[in-house]
Amino acid sequence: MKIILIFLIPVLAFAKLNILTTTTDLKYLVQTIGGDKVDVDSICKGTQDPHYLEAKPSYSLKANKADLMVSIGLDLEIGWLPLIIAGARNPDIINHHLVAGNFVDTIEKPIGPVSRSMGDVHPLGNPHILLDPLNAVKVAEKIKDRLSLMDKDNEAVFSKNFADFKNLITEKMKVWEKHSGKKVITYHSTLSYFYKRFGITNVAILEPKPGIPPSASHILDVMKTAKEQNVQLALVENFFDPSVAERVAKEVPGMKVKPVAVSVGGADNIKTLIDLYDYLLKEIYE
Amino acid sequence: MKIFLLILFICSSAFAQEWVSRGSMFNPDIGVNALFLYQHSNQETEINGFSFEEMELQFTADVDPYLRAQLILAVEREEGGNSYGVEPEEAYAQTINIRNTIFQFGKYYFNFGKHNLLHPHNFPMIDLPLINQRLFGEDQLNMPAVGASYLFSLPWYFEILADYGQGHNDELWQDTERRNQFLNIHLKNLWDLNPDTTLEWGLTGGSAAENVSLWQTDLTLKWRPMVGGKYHALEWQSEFMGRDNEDLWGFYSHLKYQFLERWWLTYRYDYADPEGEEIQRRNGLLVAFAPSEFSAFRLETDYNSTNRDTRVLLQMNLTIGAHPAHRY
Repeated sequence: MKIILIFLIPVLAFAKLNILTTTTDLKYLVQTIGGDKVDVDSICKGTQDPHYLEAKPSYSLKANKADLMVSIGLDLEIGWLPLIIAGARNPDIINHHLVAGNFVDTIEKPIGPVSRSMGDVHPLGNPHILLDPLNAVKVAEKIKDRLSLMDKDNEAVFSKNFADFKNLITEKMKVWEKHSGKKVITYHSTLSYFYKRFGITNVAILEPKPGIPPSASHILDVMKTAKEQNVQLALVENFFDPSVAERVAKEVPGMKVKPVAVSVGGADNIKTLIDLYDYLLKEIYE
Repeated sequence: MKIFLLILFICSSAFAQEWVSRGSMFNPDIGVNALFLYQHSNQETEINGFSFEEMELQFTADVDPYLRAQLILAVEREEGGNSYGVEPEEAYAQTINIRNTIFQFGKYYFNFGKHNLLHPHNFPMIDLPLINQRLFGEDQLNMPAVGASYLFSLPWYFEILADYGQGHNDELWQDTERRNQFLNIHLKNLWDLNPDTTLEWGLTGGSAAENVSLWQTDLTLKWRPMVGGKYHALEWQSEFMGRDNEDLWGFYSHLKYQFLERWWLTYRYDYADPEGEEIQRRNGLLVAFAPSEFSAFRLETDYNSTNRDTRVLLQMNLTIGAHPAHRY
């Protein structure tokens, strides 16, 4: 018995926290704060639309083995995460579920009553919160607090990693904030937080309503607005078909269409949130 | 006096606000699904025309820290008439806080393969497969029961599900008055072949009163690419099942292809071989347009080569309120 204990103690002492996130952006934050003290995986990949995912049973199997679930909330994952959690039968992720959206001030919160005639509207606000670097810092701090609570022995490591991340964002913001004043059109309101932070004006959305594909009349309206406001750039999240934006661009002199990644892992060269912010600014301003 | 009234007003309005918000927060999620149908058959002409097929009222909520409950009331047309009846299609509770295990009790669809678990608005084609229809009838294998499922911590998804219940089923048992017993055990396996593709294989054995024993196996391949998966996906599902004591068996196989964001095509081949009767064969083709997750229009045509029946069906499917996600 003593021999078994001798073998078990080192295993327990070095057991890493197993964390499952819903998105790759959250995975990056957990990995950044947790370092080598955590194993982390994401359900949604960077090339997928996080609103619409199939709840594969294999995701429930991953959730079954997790110590902590980290999600965005704000109804982003409402179509698939409840099914994954129910199938996982893991009390740990019911009791340890960190919802990032609870810790940021959301934008585009609908005023007044909402109904499905408004499309896939999010009553609690736009859920693409991590496209604002300062929201990423807020969420990273909550991840640091939660990891410290679950693994007190490594609290100092998590605090240092968070401080490093915060300093990195602070330094990068000095460069990033030099950009401002561009007008764009976008397929879906994924980049609203990014635009707000960096002074970019989104003149029109190609979806007439959230989650509803563009109609012919709406495309004509977008063309008219883009011409009037001399918009030169259309960004299409790379999980959407860019052909509608290309039709608009044909009618708007000088307009370019760029399919863009909007998550970590959305393109091969985007390994971190820093890469993502750098990449988006480069795509918009160069 | 004014101060007293002001304090009273502030306290009462604060209490009222809290009472309202707490009250609505704990309400169940409520959803309603309605199915309208137009059909035309060249053999069974009495069914031709429009009909209001079914409406489901669904209530879902956590009961407490231990249980989640779901109640689905079906309002459907009574057979051969124009009146409608209400019956509990499913009403069950499941444990939510036990590691690897779910215990379940109530009235629900048994885990007898893939199709038996589906509600009509989620059928891949508008009608039941022939073999499901022959084995269990319109109501499927659904009865008051207790059940348990266990998820194994293996490199692939492997789950054992067992249900034991008691009920009536006109197709399954000769004695239709008696409430008969049924024990069902299902093994579910799923592998991620790659990030885009999964393969599921299931196996079921059922044992019931009157020496009825049933078997079932299913194989499902699903493909939805990580890049471009909003616009293209493929599903190929086949299910074989039968009853030993009366030598009844059959299968269906469907191929579903999503070719645009809101459009898909499904082809199904149906086969049922009942002892002493002619073999049933049916081919069906369905095209579906779903303007959103909450509405769908489906046009189907099928041909039953046994009775030479050609049918055309148009179904309108609407959901309002909160509808839980469908199983994978």
